[in-house]
Amino acid sequence: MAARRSVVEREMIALLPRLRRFALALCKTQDVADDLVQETCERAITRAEQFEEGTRLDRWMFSIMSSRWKNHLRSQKVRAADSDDEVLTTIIDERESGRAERLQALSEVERALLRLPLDQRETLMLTSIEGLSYREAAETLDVAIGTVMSRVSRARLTLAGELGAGA
Amino acid sequence: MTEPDEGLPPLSADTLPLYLPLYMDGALDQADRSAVEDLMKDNPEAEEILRLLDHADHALPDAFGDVLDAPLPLALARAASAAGAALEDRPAPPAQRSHFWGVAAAAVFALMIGVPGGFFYGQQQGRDAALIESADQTRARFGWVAQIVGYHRLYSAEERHLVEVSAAEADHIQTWIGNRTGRSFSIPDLSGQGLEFRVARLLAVNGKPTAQLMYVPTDGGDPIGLCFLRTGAEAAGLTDRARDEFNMTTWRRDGYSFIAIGTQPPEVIRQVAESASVAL
Repeated sequence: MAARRSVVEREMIALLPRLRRFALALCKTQDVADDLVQETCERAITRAEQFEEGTRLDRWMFSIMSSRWKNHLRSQKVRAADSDDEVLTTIIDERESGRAERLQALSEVERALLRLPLDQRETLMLTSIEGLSYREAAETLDVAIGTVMSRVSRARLTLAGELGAGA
Repeated sequence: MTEPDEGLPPLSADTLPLYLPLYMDGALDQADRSAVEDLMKDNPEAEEILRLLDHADHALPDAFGDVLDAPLPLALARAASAAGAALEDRPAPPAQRSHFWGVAAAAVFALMIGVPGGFFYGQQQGRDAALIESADQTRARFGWVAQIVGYHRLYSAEERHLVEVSAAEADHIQTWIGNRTGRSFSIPDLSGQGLEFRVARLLAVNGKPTAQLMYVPTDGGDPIGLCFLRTGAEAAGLTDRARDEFNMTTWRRDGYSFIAIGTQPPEVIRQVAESASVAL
């Protein structure tokens, strides 16, 4: 039993860097992202009985995180503000709070990714960066696979257009 | 409840761009694929979009990669440990899955805690000191190669899993991996070395998509693996190495790092690498 506990702990802990990366793409600031990761882990505790045997822990955690963030946005009624203006505001806030170094370090593709609408952004993160298949992403986000394909196509076309000058 | 489908509009000359990313992924059915190819004939605009998509797809896998190497905040590590303890009270999963995740998680975990300033230096120093030292040494000496050794050990022990993956599924994964790693490739034909291709998989090494192609000797014996990922490293010729019970041949080309690995003698692994390097 102790050995199994150790394995589960390591699996959860080993996921943290990827959870932080996904959360950063959702929240756009590291402090908020870390709060979301912590909330996701705590949510996993209370929902442990819902984790289905034979499924992957990472997908389950991504699913929880996505739902929690959308619930948060809905509760704050700020989802409509998820736009370029918000990114600009975020960047200004980051600079004012002394985290300009992190923002200056953002690559061109990272800035372009953060400008995508939330639905496209999280879908692209799961498929192109986390390596989930379209079907896995659809199951993780609880949407139809056609929705995933549409979001991925639109997101990649947008990125291609924005990064095109450097191609 | 699954949300309503927000799928793509019907394919036409106007909507062709929306289908091009899926065309690149090999995700379209035969009818749509043929229709896309018809619309692409003598269509320089579509060719330009494909070129821009390819450029963006190459840049995407590295996005926010620095987060993977950053030290973990203490609160997060505590929350994850608590979640692990809660999950531990659940019924035991199937033995095969437990073994898979145990080995895979241990490999990632060992590399992760090698990051100076991370949570474990302050909280679990005694418990994990030996592992931290080992991870540091391993990371310094072998980097991504050490992780491949861990994965290969895992798959070498999973013969049952290997035979459960159908050839048709492997073809699909091949296309998918080509897109995810940003490298178009053909599955090397190693029949001349007495090897039969069994399965292609996508791994994550330091968060980067990594292709793994597994072969088995037609006359029995341990499998041989071919892996590659984009590292941006300068080109280098074939180099023979050894780690634990495995022999390896590594090479680098076009910003990608490649490895052939198995328990076979070094000269056998090198022959595999020489043949595979033509197709990869």
